[in-house]
Amino acid sequence: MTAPVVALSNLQRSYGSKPVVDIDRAVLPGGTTALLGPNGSGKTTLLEMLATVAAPDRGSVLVDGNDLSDPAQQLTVRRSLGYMAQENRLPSRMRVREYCDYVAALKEIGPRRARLQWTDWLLHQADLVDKRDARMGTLSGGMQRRLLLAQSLLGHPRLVVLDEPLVSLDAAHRSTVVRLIAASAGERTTVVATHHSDELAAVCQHVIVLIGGRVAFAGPPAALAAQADGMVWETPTPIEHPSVRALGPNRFRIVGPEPANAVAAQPTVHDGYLAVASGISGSFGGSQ
Amino acid sequence: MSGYVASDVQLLAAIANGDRLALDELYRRHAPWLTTRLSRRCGQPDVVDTAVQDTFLNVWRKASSYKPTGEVAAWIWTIGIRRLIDQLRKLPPPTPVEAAQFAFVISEEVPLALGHTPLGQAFASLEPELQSVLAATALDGLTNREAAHLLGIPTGTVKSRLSRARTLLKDLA
Amino acid sequence: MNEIERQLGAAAADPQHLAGPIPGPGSDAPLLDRRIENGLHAMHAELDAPSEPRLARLLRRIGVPDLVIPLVTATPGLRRSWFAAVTIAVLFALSAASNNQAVGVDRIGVFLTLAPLVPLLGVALAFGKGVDPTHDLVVAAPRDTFAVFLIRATTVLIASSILLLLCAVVLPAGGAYRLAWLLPSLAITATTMWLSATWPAQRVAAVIASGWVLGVLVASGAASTAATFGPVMQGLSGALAVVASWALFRHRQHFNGAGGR
Repeated sequence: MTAPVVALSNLQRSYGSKPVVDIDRAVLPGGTTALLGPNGSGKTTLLEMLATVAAPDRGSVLVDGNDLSDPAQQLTVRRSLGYMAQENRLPSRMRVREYCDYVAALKEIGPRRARLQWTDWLLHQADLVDKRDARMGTLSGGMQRRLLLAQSLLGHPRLVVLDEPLVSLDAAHRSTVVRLIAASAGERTTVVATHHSDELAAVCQHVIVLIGGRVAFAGPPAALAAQADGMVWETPTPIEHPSVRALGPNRFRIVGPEPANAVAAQPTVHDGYLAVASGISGSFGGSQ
Repeated sequence: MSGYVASDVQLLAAIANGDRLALDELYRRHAPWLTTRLSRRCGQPDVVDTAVQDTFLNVWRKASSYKPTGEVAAWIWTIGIRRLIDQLRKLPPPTPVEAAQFAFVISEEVPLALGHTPLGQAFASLEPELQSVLAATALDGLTNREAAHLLGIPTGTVKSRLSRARTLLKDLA
Repeated sequence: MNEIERQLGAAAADPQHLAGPIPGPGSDAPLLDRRIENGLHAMHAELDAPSEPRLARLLRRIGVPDLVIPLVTATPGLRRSWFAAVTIAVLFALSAASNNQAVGVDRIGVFLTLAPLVPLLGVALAFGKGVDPTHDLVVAAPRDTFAVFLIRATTVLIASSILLLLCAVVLPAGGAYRLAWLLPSLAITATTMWLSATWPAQRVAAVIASGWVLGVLVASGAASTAATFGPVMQGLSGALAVVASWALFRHRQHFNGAGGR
């Protein structure tokens, strides 16, 4: 079975009179797509529409040809959909294993024995086997995040929508999560909104940069990195620049015009994203 | 313990003492044939698998009540076929086409029981629905009511078909 | 019993033999192997799982379908603390009323006014973006969102009705009037559920609840408790309950759409 293709056309959703998402046309091919953009760029709203929890004001989302605005086709998509929201909203008094049972029941998995198997699977994926009887509210933010990610993969969905899955995880768990996202990429379409673009870049085949609700770049990760060609510098002295990042005590990296006393550096996906976000990239728009 | 193979009866004794490994071993030995045979009586793999799992969960709970008089396999079968009927009770009755298919598939087991003897030929000469009723009661060891559930027909029909089969067999013999 | 049945019965003593050859290393074997292995895991999962909570076991015993049980036990608002709070509130109101006989407020009137609010508030707190942290999951799941709403509402309705029946038994007087809250509570709860198809459940519940209390206050200012909760109100409530339920089912698709509340 091949991964579904998601096609967006003329998609718009507004809060009040201000459009939050306004996409003429975009295609998310099978495999993993990283969705990058500053806060308030409409990433979460776009993901909510892909996950069928928010409806567009205008335009359409097609998942393998199924129109999400049609109830029957929407159900077809929901049968094979995993969604992880941006916030850790969890029933704090429920026990972890009860939560797993509940999520499996929402995904129409039965009888109880099958749900118990999925519960075991979930606890292993989330690395929470010894927390099975704990109340959800007692889990740390990172544990809750892992559990939420694992539940989105329950039932082996073909479309997975993840909103900031790497936030509040330590480095070890981040690499586990990246591995989980990369697994079975051939049969799955995964859309991931993230600030950890470099960590995800290695496993994604496609990147979309959203600025002000519009697609500012769409293409493979290497093409995004290339947007910052000749604009990435490292210097040992602190420097005033919107894109400056401290890599060490005496190592600062910027994307922009060459500062004094700097050496050129190889651009990463994140550098490319910064170049696009600040509007200084070479060829705006990239390949669609 | 290498080289030593426990008998079914020994496994059951260990299971009665709460030995989970013994349960796994008994399961690996007996689940395949039980699955194969129950699949001849129900065309839905999920239903059969659930019944097989229920069977061994029952074995786990009831191992101490096993009396070493007959084959352990025969004991497992009496549990297994009834767990299948429990599952079938929750489902709509089979359609006539499905019922005819079961009848055909169940009767595959009869040559294994009777061989190519005159009795086997007499059985083969019966109508399919009479064969399936005979197989369900005599071969599967079901009561008329249980056979009715398995075949999706009223209990009265099971009774009347059984007596018709007996009359016919008397004439043939 | 004849010869064939005797022979078949004898053969049945060796049921393993009757299976015939189990597919060996060949065509069907991998599939069967996978089923057998998966069955072993399923068995382990069941044996290792802690026993079901008491409520879930009770529901299973009385024949509640397997897939409904986790939704019932996970109903937000279905918590001991909530029931305790409601019971205390009702009892407090009752005792306050008994001290105010002189003002002309009678206990049964207070009880009948407050009782229908219990299931109403329970339903409002059991479903929706504001009160259910798993709301997004419910909407994105293949499970019919309306069915989840109905299961939760029914759960709260049954649980709070049991609670109110117990309160009614405790009431010292009132006769058959002790049950006069039943139809009004069904009516305003069903109306709230129906209007929740269009507006957030919590807001609807607040409006309906205030409307109910105001209506009763106005009516009981003009007539006795017995007359207020008499046959006219019962008849109207019954009719409203039926109409609202019908309208609710007609609008069921509203709950399933994206952004359903």
